[in-house]
Amino acid sequence: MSPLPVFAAGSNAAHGAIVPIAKYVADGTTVSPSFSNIPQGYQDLMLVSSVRSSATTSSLVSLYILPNGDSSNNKSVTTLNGNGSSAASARYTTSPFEYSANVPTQQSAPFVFGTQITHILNYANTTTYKTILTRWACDLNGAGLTGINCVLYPYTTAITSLTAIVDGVVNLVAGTTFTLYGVRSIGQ
Amino acid sequence: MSMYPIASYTTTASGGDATITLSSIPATFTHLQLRVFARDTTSGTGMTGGYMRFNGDSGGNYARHYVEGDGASATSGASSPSQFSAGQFLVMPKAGDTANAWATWVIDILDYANTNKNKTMKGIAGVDLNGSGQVYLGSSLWMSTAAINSILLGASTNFAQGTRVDLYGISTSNATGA
Repeated sequence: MSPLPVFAAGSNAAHGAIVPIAKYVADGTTVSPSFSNIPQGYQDLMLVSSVRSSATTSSLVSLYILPNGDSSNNKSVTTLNGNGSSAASARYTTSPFEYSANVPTQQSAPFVFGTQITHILNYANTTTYKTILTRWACDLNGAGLTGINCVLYPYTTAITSLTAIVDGVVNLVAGTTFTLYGVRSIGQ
Repeated sequence: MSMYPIASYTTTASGGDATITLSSIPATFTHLQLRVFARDTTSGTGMTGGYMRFNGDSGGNYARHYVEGDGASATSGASSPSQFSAGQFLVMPKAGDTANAWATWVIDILDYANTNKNKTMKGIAGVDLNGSGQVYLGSSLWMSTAAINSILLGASTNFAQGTRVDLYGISTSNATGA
């Protein structure tokens, strides 16, 4: 294997690889914020979020990310998480939503938001299924959960929009944020 | 903190690549991040794993720890030092696994150019195959204080055509260290 071309300092070197595309800040009245018309010129997407649900349950609830507004029952996810005393793994198939993380609710410790970083590599590729990998965490000072979720979106379609929804399709608490970044490669 | 693309490679050969080497890595960044979209040509089903080496070192100087979830249970493991231990949490689909499904790896190598530290990498890796799959939180140790100037990614057999590797350098601010 010959050495790869190394990115030389030049005009493009002045620009970082992580390019902000869009940001959403919840005001407490929105159920499912969406990023649409996602540019197709990056190598990967990275979604950084800080989320709290208005659900009234005391347990953590699921956060879902829908590519291309697709809510058909075709998603599969493998999860790994730890709750402070043990670790567990689970799988969900034929799901309408991309189960990406667990987040706190209005009944959780005050002012606590779950944090998530979601990676979608090769999102604009039209010959491969999409793998959506999320590292997430939520600590409630005495309880909590942290984990990794890997979702298969079984379509070769390029991802052009992302929509976020929490369990029960309830409002996101004010202060919830989603920031979408494009990760550019050499020449992009 | 800013991230910059250093190198990129896509497997174009129909038979794939047994290894992918990113060489001549500049020492001017603070950290490195590898972002990999991969699949292996190993026949059969059930997923397989890749490995990593630094600076062409094929000695038994690598170790690893990981936590893995397979959809039913979570397990943790480690390995004795060997030449294949680095990155052994880097799971990939095999040739017979779900068509068009690919693995995602995001790997961080902190302080890669520091010559006073052995090198620790950490990463997350995942594959879901709609009925099977694995996710990993892993780390590996390279027992060398040498600055990392090349990274080899090894497949179980070959990386499949379409495998994509992107290497980024992460810089810090001289003023704030952020």
